[in-house]
Amino acid sequence: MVLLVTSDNKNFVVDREVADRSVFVKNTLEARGLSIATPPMLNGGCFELTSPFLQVLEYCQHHRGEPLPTTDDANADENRKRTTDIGEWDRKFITVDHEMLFEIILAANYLDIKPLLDVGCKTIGNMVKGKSPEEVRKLFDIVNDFTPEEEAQIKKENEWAEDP
Amino acid sequence: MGYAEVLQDTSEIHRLLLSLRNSFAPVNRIPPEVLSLIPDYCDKDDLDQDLIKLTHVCRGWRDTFTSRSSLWTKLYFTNIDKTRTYIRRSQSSPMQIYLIDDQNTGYLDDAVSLVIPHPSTQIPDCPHGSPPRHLQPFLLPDAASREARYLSALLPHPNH
Repeated sequence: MVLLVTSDNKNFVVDREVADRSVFVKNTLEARGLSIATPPMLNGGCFELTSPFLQVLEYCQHHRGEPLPTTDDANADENRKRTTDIGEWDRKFITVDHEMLFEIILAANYLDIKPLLDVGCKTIGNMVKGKSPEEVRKLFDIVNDFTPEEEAQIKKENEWAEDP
Repeated sequence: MGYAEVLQDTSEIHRLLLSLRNSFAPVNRIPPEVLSLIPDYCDKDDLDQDLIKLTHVCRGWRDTFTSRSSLWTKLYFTNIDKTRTYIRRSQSSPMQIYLIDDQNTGYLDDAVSLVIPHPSTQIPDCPHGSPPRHLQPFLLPDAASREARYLSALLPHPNH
């Protein structure tokens, strides 16, 4: 068993197999020969801590024991990203509001949980696919802040953007 | 300060406020190095257009996606301005450039001259038969000059 302590002093006791889904936690434990890890990203800051971490733990528990992707081969890594299909369980898991989705991506990135980062990024990829810039802005609450010069450049790019 | 200058300053301040507002958008909590990975997960077929559209969302996203050079290394040789943009954004990353033989290729001579100085180019294999006419001077053994060494993966379009 491993005790994970977050910076707001919440304790989570999990199986080593679950904790090892995070390469960050796995390496930390192996390097220090400890059974306690403190992922520093999970300190309060400007967002709520416990909720995304619980989600990440749920993901790790569900996928415990599964082989982790290797990063030795860049081509295989690229192919894996493009062909990543979101499984049924993962699809339900990642059906959360935008804020939670972004928190999960942040946590997966920091904790180095590649398959979870894949699911999060693929979800955003599916959200923006085929959308116009204006539709993407509306989706993510972004406004157009381009200068007139940049707008002119974008207009030029649009002239060849539709080429195959 | 004249009226025009005041107006220009005002619009610049307005634009900066819009950029500031964007920096607080929840999606922009995702760090640029992670956000720039998103196109890796898009379908290959539509990647080109989706990628270009992502650079048209806001200034922050434009910086994020145009500065990741590896996103701009696969180019379908169809337009001289597009070629120029991709070469610039790919920086020194190796490029894969596909030719579409059945299109009007009148611009190719100009386009090839853009590609040759690209620092990462290599002499290609042409697995689908003879290389296109425009490239043959660069592929002949006698032309194993500096230009030939710089000529990269100019392969026929895989579907043609």
